[in-house]
Amino acid sequence: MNENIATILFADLMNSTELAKNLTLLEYDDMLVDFQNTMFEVVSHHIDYFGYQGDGVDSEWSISGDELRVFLYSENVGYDILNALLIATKIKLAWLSSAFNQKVLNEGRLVSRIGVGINCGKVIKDVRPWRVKIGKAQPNIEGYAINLTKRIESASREGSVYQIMVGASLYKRCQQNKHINVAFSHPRSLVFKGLGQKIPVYEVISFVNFEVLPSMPDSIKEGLLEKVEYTVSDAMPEPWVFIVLLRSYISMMAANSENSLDVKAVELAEQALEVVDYKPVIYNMLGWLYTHGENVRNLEMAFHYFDQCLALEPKNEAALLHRARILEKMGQTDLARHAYQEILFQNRHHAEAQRKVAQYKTAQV
Amino acid sequence: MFFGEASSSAMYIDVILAAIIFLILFVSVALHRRTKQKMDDLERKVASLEQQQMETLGSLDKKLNSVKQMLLEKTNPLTSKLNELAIKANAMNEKSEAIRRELEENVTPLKASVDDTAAKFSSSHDAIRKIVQESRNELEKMAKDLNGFAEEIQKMKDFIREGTIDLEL
Repeated sequence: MNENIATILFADLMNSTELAKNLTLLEYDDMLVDFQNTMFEVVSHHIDYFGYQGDGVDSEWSISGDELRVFLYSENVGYDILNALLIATKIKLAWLSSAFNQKVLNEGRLVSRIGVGINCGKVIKDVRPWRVKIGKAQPNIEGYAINLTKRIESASREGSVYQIMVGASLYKRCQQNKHINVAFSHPRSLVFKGLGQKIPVYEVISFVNFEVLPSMPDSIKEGLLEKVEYTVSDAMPEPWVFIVLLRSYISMMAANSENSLDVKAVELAEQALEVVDYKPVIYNMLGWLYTHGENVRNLEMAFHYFDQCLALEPKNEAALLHRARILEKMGQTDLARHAYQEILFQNRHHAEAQRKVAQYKTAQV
Repeated sequence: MFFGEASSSAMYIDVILAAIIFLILFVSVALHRRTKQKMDDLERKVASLEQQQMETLGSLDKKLNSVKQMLLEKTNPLTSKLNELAIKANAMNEKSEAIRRELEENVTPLKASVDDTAAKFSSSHDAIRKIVQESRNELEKMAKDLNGFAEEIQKMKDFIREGTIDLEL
C-alpha cells in the first residue's frame, strides 16, 4: 500500500446523454469509437513522449464509454500538473479535429465538447486481493481526491472558456509554480452531491504552452493546424483555440520557419481580442508579434499592447519585462531602469532585471 | 608279202623319226650356239659397263676428294675462328657465372634483409592501417555522437527558447 500525491484528470463528452437520444444507435456508436480512438492515440502517445513509464509505475489511464481517466504520480507534482493540463488541451484539440467532428463542423452543426476536471491530492495505491484472484494484479487508486475530481469534472459544463476545471489544490500549486503559464478564472463555490460543503472550483482561462501541437501523435498532427485554422475562421471560434493557434504561430516565427506568418498572426490576435475574455495573454501575444514580426515590427505598437496588458494586470511580469526591454531598445534609459526596478519590486529574484539594474548602476558610477 | 610290207613300213618310220631327231638336235645346237653368242655379247657389254662404272666411280672419287679438299681449305680458318669464339664464350660464361655467384653471395643477405624489412613494413603497415581504420571509425563515431549531441543541444536550445517564450506571454 502506497500513499502518493497524484494529479487526477477526468474527461468526458458533454451532453452525451442528449446526443444518445438524438443520434441513432449506430451514429452514437460511431461517435464513441472515434472518441475512444482519439483519447487512446493522444494519451498513450503523451505518456510515452513525456517519459512516463505507465503500467501503474508512475501513471495509469483508462477509457470507459465516453469517459477518460488519467492518474499521474511521478513524485514531481509540478510536472504532473503540467502534463495534465497538456493532456486536457490536447484531447480537446484532437477531438475537435477528429473525423466525426470535422464532419459535424462541415455540416454547420455544433460539435460535442469535452469537459475536463483536474485536481491533485493524496491517493492510496494498492493491489486488491480480488484483482490477484482474477490474475490482474494491477494496483487500484483510491482516495477522496478522486471523488472530488469527478465532481469538479461535472462542473466543467458551467465553464465558458477552456471548460477545464481545477480544484483548489491544483490552483494553489500552479500559483506557486512560476514555470507554468496558466491563468484561472475567479473561484466558483459549488456544492457537490455527497460532499456537504462548498468547494471552490476554478476554470482554466489561459494555458500557454508550446508543446501542445508538437507533442501530438503523428496520426493526429498531420493537417491539424489547417483544421484548427478552419475551426477559428469558419466554424466554431472557441477562445481556447485562438490561444493554442497563436502560440503555434509564435513558435513557427521564433524558429524562422515562417517569415510571412506575422501578418496572419496579428490578424488572428486582433480577432481573438473580440472572442477571448481573458485578454492579457492576447495583448502580450500582440506585443510579442509587433516586437519580433519582421513585416509588422513596430515597437510603439508593441509597447501599447504590453501597456494594455498591464492596465488589466499591473503585476503581469511578462508585460513588465517586455515593456522594460522596449524602453531600453528605444533608448529611454531612465524609464527602462525604472521598468526593471518595477519587476524586481514584484519578483526580487528576477535574473534579467537584477542584471540590468546592476548594469545601470555601474553606468551611473 | 605281208611280212615284207610290214618291215618296209617300220623302216620308213625309223627314218622319219631319225630325221626328226637329227633335226631337233640340229635346231638345239643352233639355238645353243646362238644363245652362247648372245651370252658372250652380254658379258662383253657388262664388262664394258663395269669398266665405265669403274671409270665413273674413279672420276667421282676424284671430284669428291677435290671438293673435300676445297672445303677443308675454306673451312679451316672458320673452324679456328669458331674455336676462338667458343673459347671466348666459355670464358665469358665462366666470368658471368663467377659474377652471378658473387652477386648471389652479396644479394642473398641483402634480399633476406629486404624481405625482412618488407615483412616488417607490411606488418607495420597493417598495424598502421588498422590503427588508422580504428581511428577513422572512432572519429566517425565521435562525429556521429557530436552531430547527435549538436542536435540534442539544438533541441535543448529550442526547448529553452520556447519555454522562455511561454513564460513571457
